[in-house]
Amino acid sequence: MEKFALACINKRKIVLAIVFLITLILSYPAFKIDVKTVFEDLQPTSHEYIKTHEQFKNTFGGTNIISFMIVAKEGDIFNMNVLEKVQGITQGLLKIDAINEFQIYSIAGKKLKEVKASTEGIESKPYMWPNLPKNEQEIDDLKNAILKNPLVYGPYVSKDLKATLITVDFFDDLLNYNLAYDQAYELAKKYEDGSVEISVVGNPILYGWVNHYLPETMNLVLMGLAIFLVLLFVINRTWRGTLLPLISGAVSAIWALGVSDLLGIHFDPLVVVIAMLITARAVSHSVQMVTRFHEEIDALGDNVCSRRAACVTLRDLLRPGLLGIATDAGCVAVVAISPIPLLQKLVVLAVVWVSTVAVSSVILTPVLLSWVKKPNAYAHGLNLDLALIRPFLNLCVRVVETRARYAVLGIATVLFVVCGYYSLGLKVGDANPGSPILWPDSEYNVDSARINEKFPGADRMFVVVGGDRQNQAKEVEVLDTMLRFQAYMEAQHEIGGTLSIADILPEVNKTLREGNTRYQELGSNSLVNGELMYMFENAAEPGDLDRFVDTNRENASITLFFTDRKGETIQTAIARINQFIAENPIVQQAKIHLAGGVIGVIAAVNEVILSGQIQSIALALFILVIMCIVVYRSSIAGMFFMVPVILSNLVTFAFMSWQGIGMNINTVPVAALGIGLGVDYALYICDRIKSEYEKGNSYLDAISVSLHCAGRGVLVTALVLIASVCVWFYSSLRFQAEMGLLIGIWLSVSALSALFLMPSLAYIFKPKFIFSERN
Amino acid sequence: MSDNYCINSAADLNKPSIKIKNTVISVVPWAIVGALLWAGIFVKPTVAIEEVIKPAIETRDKIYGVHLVDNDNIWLCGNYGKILKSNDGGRSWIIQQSNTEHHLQDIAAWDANTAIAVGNEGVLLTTTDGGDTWAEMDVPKTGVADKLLRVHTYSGGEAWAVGEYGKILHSDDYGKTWTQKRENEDVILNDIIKLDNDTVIAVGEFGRILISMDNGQNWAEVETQTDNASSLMALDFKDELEGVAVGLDGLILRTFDGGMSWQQSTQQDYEMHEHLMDVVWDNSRKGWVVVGNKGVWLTADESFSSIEAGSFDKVDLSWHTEVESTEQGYFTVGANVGLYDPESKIFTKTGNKLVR
Repeated sequence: MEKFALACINKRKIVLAIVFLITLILSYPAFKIDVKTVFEDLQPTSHEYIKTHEQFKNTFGGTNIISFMIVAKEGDIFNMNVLEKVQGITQGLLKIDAINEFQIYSIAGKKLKEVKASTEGIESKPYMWPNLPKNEQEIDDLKNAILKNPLVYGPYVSKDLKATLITVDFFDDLLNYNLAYDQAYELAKKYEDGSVEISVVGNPILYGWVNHYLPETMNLVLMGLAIFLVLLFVINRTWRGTLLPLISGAVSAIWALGVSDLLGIHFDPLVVVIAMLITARAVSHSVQMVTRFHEEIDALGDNVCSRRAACVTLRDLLRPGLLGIATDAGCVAVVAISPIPLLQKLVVLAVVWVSTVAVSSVILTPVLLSWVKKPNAYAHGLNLDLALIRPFLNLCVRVVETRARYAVLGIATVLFVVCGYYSLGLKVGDANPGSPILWPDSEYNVDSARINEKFPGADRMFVVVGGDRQNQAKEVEVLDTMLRFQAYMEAQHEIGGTLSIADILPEVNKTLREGNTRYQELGSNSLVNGELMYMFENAAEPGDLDRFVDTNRENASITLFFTDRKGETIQTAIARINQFIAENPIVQQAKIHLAGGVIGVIAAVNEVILSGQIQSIALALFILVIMCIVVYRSSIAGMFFMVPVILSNLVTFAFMSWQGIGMNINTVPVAALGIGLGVDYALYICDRIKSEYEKGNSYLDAISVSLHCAGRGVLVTALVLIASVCVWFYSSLRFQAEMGLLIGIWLSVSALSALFLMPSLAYIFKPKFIFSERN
Repeated sequence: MSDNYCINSAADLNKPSIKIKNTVISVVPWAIVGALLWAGIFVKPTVAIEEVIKPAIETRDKIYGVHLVDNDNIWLCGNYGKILKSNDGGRSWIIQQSNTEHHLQDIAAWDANTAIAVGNEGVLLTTTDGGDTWAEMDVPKTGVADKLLRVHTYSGGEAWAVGEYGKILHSDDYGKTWTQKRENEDVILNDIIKLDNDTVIAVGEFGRILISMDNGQNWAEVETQTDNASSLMALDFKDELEGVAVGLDGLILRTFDGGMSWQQSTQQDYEMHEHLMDVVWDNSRKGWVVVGNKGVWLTADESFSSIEAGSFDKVDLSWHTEVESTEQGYFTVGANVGLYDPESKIFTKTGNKLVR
């Protein structure tokens, strides 16, 4: 290590030149990295639900459906003014880019039809396409026709007749969320006035909102940065103490983003928090370096030599620094086991980013420090060290010296138990209705709540019933099973309704039987059912049945409408589907395949996260323990460093559970990163205690020196970072605010445990890997 | 002070108990490492699932038939062999095991213990223990169209059932054995009534009315004085002479001579074009009650001079297939099940609580 440190400092110009060159080269790709959200990236491709979803999404309903709800403020929708608006919006949809015009469902569209019996069999006609009703009588007829049809009255016209729904699907590969968001709102605003209220929801809208807040996110990042720099300057009192951490943060960010762009990975605005977190680590490593450098300068007394001090700094901090970075990278890498592309890409980004910290902070900072001309000079006179930091660190030392150390241990134990208990209540999936990305009172969530109040549910899941045999979907047993399945599922309160071909055939059958409701049932055999299907399709247009059954009649869809996306709701629904399948394994060689649509995809994601939850935490801890064991050649070291990590994570989990923040795709990487990052502070402190003890200091002196030097770095970075994380509370994206809060808590707990708990533990148990036998 | 601590701990190291402790200390970490690895690879968390309480009458249920034994004891039957019984006037329900998946179209009872239910594919079930067990009875079938649509019970264990293919079935031993009372014919019979010891009348498709004066041995067709050929769905009599039959497209026929001749009711005071599915004579309120598609109801006084019509709910246009009159009002079944109070004109859905 000594040799490496010497080499770096001696060839400092070459090192600097290389770093500068790489930074320059990577700047270009780093600044042109794509900032966007791709919903498909959330889909765990190998999961069976996703396979079903991918196979059928184009006909049975994808994840990118937008729903417009038009609510009449006075009376019901059956007046010319409202109907004109419904028609206007329906026709306006065609002007939205990437729209799938065959998947527009509206009472003013071509796809929703009235089915009637006539002398020639069955006849069907759209409700008000191409023309609106002409007079009161025709409006009345329209109303009656809609009331009669359970496929429209309920799903597309609300039970109180005050609202109607228009839904539209997109071609996934052509869809641009921002454009769809702009165009959809433009359309809604065009028709909204005193007489109607228009709500718009759907994934393209949701991610449009995330992008809408991108400038705000950037402002928050800049504000956080400004707070960070000012505080660092005030506390460190030197330009180097302010700019060097900034430079190392910037260098690692440029390298990481540059490499990601070269690897074809885009930057999701939802992972800004992760980026902040890693940058925070780069900065804290750098602050450790600067703090240590100052100390070495002080130690050198009159023989001030920046090169010498920088060399010692690099030599001594190389081990804790690199170990910290390696554990960070190792623990984050574990997340890549997850089959979710978003997480895999995130892992690549995070591992690259964390690894660059080894160069940008651990090597670059001391190298730059070696050029410092007047290392004793300060930029301003306000000395917070004397007023605040030293007294606090003295307190830390006093705690270790006195019996208060046992109190610290006691508090930690209580926290373990209490938080451990509460963290068991942590939920997987979204814990609240509406989108957890946005605040409950955001326009999107308010719209979403309004729609769910009027309609069976805006979020859909489809299951596919079928197999490889043609005409399976005509079999009475298969159709019967579908109906029983639908009834079974509808018993769950959060499932507002279900829809399938098995709902349509009885209607057709009844119509053929003069409207006799005692014949509102499926045909008695597959021949009759085939006939009913044929009649319906004959009366309709080709493709009208596509959303219910494929052309070979092999596979039929059952669409379930959900009133919320809560993790519990989805888990219960999936468990009930599986229960039903267990009771009805195979009917006429047809099977029920789970599950597509937005809810199907979320179900798959939640399942993956749930099953990976223990896996990723256990494996991350495993990697941490093994690394500590290897580096310190002591099995106790592994146990020792698990303490702050588990504590900070338990506190965070308990807080999430208490605040109703669910473990979802957005929070999982934060948790995994927390394990790796939580150990850094403790590593610096313990490593310093070890080296001071080896120099011949007593136990307490070693601890005191460590707390005043490494501890200062910990305290300063924690203070500065917590302060700059606070700006996220003001984010319009609830997810960012919550993650900011979590990171704040997590930083506080790991800093406090590094400052109080770890030295106390070290002093009480005196582990050999710290206090080794002295020569 | 710190030196003292040093000495103490150095001395401690030599004690034998410390050696054991050291061994434990060196084993435990590896055990934890192993446990972590094991947990990482094998442990899969399980989730707690919310319990879903199934309502007695589900949203999708179609309840086709109803029979009121008295104000408390009510029997319902419907799709997929569903039979429900209430002992508290419809506040809560017991699901009974019918052991059939066929849709049941109608249910009728002699008393609170003995009942009979009929349905698709000629299924005919009886119970003698209040519905704890239902047994399927043998009935003549054609193999082509065997759906049974209505069944009625009469004193002395007598029962009449009608259905597809012109089928008229009769039993006089509480439904144990059945005889077919008429040749098969490609016409659906929708309802039947026995007026007195010998007179039985059945109605059906294309406005057909059949009458037998010898308890079903011979049947004659009644000519109706109307050109409306809509199917007749149900009929009921006030006494042995005066009766009403209702049918599709708002058809209402009346007879004053025990079913020998029928006239179409003149629709002057009201306009009714919806399908009418059932009619009953309400002896306590001295009036007629009719229900049908789209939630319509129609009431008429004894002489049909004052007629009122409306729908149970402005927007819930659920259809109904049968109606029974009770002290509280009219109990109707179909796409939903509820009680209509003719005084307040309010329709309330019955309790949905499932017991047992």
